[in-house]
Amino acid sequence: MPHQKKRKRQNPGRFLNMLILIFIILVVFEGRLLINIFQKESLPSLVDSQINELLTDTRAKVPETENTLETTAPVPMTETQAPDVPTNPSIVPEQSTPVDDTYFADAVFIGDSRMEGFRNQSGITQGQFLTGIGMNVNNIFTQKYIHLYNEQITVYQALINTQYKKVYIMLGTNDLGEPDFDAFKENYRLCLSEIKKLLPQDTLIYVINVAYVEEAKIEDTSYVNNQNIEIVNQKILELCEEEGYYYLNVNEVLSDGNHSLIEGATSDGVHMYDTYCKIWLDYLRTHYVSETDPSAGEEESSSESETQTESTPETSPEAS
Amino acid sequence: MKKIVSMALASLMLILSLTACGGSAKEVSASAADLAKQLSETVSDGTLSSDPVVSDILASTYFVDMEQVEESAAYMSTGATACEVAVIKCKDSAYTSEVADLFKSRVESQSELFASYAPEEVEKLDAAVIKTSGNYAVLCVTDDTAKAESVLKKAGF
Repeated sequence: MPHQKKRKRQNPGRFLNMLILIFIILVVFEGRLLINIFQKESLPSLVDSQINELLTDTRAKVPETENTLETTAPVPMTETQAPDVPTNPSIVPEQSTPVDDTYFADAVFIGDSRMEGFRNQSGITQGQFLTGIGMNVNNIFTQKYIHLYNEQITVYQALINTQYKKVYIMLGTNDLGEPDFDAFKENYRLCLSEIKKLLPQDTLIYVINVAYVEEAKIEDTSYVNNQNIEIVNQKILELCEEEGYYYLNVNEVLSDGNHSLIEGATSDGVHMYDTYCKIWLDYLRTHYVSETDPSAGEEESSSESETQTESTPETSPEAS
Repeated sequence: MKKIVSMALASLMLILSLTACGGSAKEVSASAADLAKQLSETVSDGTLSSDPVVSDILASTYFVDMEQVEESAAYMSTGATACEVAVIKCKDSAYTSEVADLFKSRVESQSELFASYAPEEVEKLDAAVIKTSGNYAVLCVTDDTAKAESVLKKAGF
């Protein structure tokens, strides 16, 4: 009995303790629940605010980026933005160090009136020029384009007994009316092989592709047009690959970025003013093959050419 | 009588020599560079270079013996037209007629080439101005021949 009395005395205290414990637990858990609720409600707003902050930053930066592009992009938009461009060892890469005109001292430049305009307008100070108005890959063999003191001779006659170490040749504009561009390619192949025979074995042959035209200024664009130029340039590129010649894509610097010559570059759509001939000359100064190790240029070109040609079905070797 | 004849002959020689002096006294006043620049500005379509070509290009275009040249300047075309300007001041006036012949040869050659390529340019070549005065020889193929003639007249041609 005394034991039972003792138990009765202890029960109210325990009960009270239990109540206090339950109360504390309730208070604590309810509080955490409330905190969690507040936290859950605030998370989306926190995320939103962070996104907004990011968007605000981005919005603020976008005009900056556009301005940068506008100011840093060269006037003649380059073709380097092309996303999927072919790798081609024949394409001459851009070199980090430009050459001066002494590099051209042992060079001969062969071409039509556009090359003649380059001679007259670029400010080039070295190199010999064998040019003729209307020259193409067919008549170069027969037409006496080269005017000497007392006579006129063909380009081939002018090359006999010469020791040029570099050839820069640009033909094709006067071949755009050729109905069969494969025939153009074969005639150009013959033309170049004959030139090569006349010169030292180690002479570098640079083949400059056909610069785009300003179609809006050309009266008859039925054949002198940029579409045909791209086809012809593809044939020239193939030829360079097959024969080991070096392909110079001047349209990298003369294109308006839309497969056309820079607007305002010519009076007649074809022949470039001095400003653009100087751009062309600068391109030649920065695109060359090492004389001591021509293969080095080929290696470099395989990596750099990816950013140097315009990606079009016509200019892509894979597409041919 | 002999005195009268000799006096008359002396007077005649004096008159003739004075007349000759009057003709040669009209010397070219501008430098080759200035004259070439002025003539280049007569070409209205802007196809001539804004700067003169280097002397090597001038020499290889006209086959001029540069050792006989005191000063020279030439402006050449983009290739779109036959327009061009060359002014050569020779060290000796005796060489100017040879330079003029070289200019004529150049014009003939250009006419042949342009005949099939751009026949309208042949008219400009037909009207090419080739002149000599003192030690100077000038070639100007332009679309405004009258203006070029005026420039040359003012310069003393």
